[in-house]
Formats: sequence, structure tokens, C-alpha cells
Amino acid sequence: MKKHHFITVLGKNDIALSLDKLHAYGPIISVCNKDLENKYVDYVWTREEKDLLWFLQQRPSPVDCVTTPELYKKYVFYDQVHSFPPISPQFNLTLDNNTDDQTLAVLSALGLAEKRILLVGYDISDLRVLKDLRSVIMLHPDMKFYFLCNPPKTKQLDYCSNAECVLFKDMEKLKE
Amino acid sequence: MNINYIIKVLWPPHCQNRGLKVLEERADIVKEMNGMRSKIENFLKASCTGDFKVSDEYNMKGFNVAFEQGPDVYNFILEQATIGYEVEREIGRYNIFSDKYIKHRILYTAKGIIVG
Repeated sequence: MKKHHFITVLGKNDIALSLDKLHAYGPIISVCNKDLENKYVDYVWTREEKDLLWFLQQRPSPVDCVTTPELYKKYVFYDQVHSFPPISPQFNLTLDNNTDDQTLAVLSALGLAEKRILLVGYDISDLRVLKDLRSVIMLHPDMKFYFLCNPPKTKQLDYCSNAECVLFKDMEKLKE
Repeated sequence: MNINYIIKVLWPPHCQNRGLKVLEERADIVKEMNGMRSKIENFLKASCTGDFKVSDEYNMKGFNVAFEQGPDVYNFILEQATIGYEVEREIGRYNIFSDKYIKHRILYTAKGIIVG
């Protein structure tokens, strides 16, 4: 599978940016959000079967879904359903039913990205989400993470050398 | 061709676990194995909507068949009793994130296929 230069992870927060503009950077992986324009979403992370079926029934084309290994077993023969990637044992992150969907979407994106991950609309107000995000960032020093937001810039990721907070208005610079 | 699924078709029991030396001496068994491979290929040509590939590598247990589309594999597993072949109770599915084929145990029942 070809790795992509940029992968965008869409979090839980609403964003003002249009998805077609975001899609120009590369594939988009989103948490479950039925309000998005599906044609610009490449993968949706979902753990609920009813949501998975909803995305599979979208027309003109179904949306590819990433789901838990347990639910995946029922959909192995569906080309649009993918299993959550196996986590390396060195990865010191506790994954359970309470793990936030955003964290799981980022972990999925790591398998598809070559060098850069854009975090867009990523909600880090929950301390566990923030802690998990920091762990993911620090365990992948070769990957660059860009946290996109409106002013003011967050300082929560300041001590992660491979993470950078970028304002939406400056995101064009990332293409350079 | 995007290979998303791999499944092994087993040789008939009396053709399995035959060493190359034995096969050199038993042209009848080799003929049967080649005939089976052709039969499977013809069946796949008639039934698959997506791409497929029958491996020509020799294995003592059977031979691999690769598929692009899930419904083709599902149908292939279901039809084994009708057409006269047996597949291994394991399927490899490509995982886009790890770039590897992940194996799943399959249980073939009269009502359908259960993945374990």
C-alpha cells in the first residue's frame, strides 16, 4: 500500500475549513461524524455496528470504515471495512473501551502516513486524550504532527519536538 | 491487481504431502493436481466479478488463490462442496495499515461462513 505524504485526522470539533480544501493535502480519516461530506472522507473510524452500516450504505459509494477487531470479524468479506491495525508491543499505551475515537483514528493514520499527520478539529480538552496524543507523538519521532487550530495557538504540545501548532490561516505553508 | 484476500485450496487427500521425487514417478497424481488447478481457474473465470489469481507455486498442502473482492471469496468458499474442492480453514486479509496479510480462522457452515 502506498504511503501518503500527508494524512489528515479529523477530530470531534467543528471546523470552518471546507473538506475539499483539506482533501487537497491527502486522504482524510475521521472519527464517526455523519454530517461530513462523505465524498471527501477516505476512512471513518467507528466502533458501533449501526454507524458502520450507515457508512457502508452511502451512495454513490460507501465510505471505507476502520473498526475494532471484534466487529471486523463480522465484516471480513466487505472490501470497505478494515481492521484497526495491530499495535506494536513496545507501544506503551493502554487501549480499552474508554479510549477516545480520536486516539484510535490517529493510530490508524500512522499506518498510512509517510511523514506528516495533520490534526484538524482535534479536541484535546479531555486530559486522557491529550496524554494519549502526547504518547503517540513521542513514540513516533520520525513522524511530524501538525495541530491545526484558530488563534491562540495551544501550548499543550510544546515539548514534543516533532509536533507543531499551526494556525489555519498559515496552513498553506505546509505544502512548501 | 490488488490482492486483498488469500485462501488456500487443498489438494485431494491422496495428492497431499507428496515429495517431488514421488511426483516425478507418479504422473497420474501430477495430472490430477494440474487438472484440479485448471478446474478451479475455469470456475473462477465464470464466477468472479473482480480480479483473481491462481498461484502456480507448488506446495505440499495445496495452492493459493488470491482475490481482489470479498464477495468473490465468500462465494468461492460457499461453492466448495458443489464444485468439489476444499479450502483451508483460514483466510488472509490484507490490512492497509500494517501492510500485511492478517490470518483469520473461518468456519464453514450450512448457514454461511463464520470468522473466528
